[in-house]
Amino acid sequence: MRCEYIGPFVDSTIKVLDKTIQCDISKGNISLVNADEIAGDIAVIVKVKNDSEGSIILSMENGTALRISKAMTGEASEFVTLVELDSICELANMISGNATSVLNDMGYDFKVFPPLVIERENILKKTNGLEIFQVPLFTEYGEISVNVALRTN
Amino acid sequence: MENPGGKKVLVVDDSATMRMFLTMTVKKTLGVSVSEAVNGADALAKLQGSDFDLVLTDMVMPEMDGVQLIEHIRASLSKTMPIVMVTTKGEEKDRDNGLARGANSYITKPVNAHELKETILKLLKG
Repeated sequence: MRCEYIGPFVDSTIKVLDKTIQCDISKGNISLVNADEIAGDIAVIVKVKNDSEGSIILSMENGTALRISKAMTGEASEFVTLVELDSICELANMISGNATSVLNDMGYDFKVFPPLVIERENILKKTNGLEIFQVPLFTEYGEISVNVALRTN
Repeated sequence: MENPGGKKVLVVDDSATMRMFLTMTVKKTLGVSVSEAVNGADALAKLQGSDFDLVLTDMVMPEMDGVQLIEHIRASLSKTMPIVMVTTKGEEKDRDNGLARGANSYITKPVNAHELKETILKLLKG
């Protein structure tokens, strides 16, 4: 995978979080992980095609999703419901849209698909043995993990 | 028009989060009355049953998307009611299409509350 693919997805996540829920964000170190090392109760996957094939996975704990969704919608919930899952999918939608726009401006051809909530046990199958680069982002709402698993075509 | 209270805005988005976010932001910053629709077809039904002063619409939606909604509004409901598109980066083609079909303006997600307020205020002023 080309290294320059990772930055736009991480930078877009920071930009979208900053604009959407206005919080301080610090970026952790990048690491190469296995599919079973993607932490969190909730994972949302965005499939990528054309110049590169694979997926971007945003993952977090339930509590983080509850706090982010409340900040986005104004509605508090004790449990993760369809509203909270929709909030995280909407975040992923904005992040992937921004990132592909940056990458396409750089001369690449990226196409992304609508985000889907993914069961933890399906992450391995969906990432299809690709190397996964993980960048943790620390916010007052909790940790959000950006996982980039892309193959150059 | 610093106080547009009394005006009616229709928010159209298939994402419950975005509907809630846009409704909360528009109500809080402008004090207008807001109704919601889940796609273009739902929006048309609501527009036919009530008078609205402005439509705020997402572009990519199931059943009837934003461009189709704009076409329907301009063809059969109103030539002048302001329509603002809410687009994601990467949807430039949809945005250009929407403007060509009669939308008045657009804002890009993630939505900035100040930009949203100013865009709506400007259009409600006429």
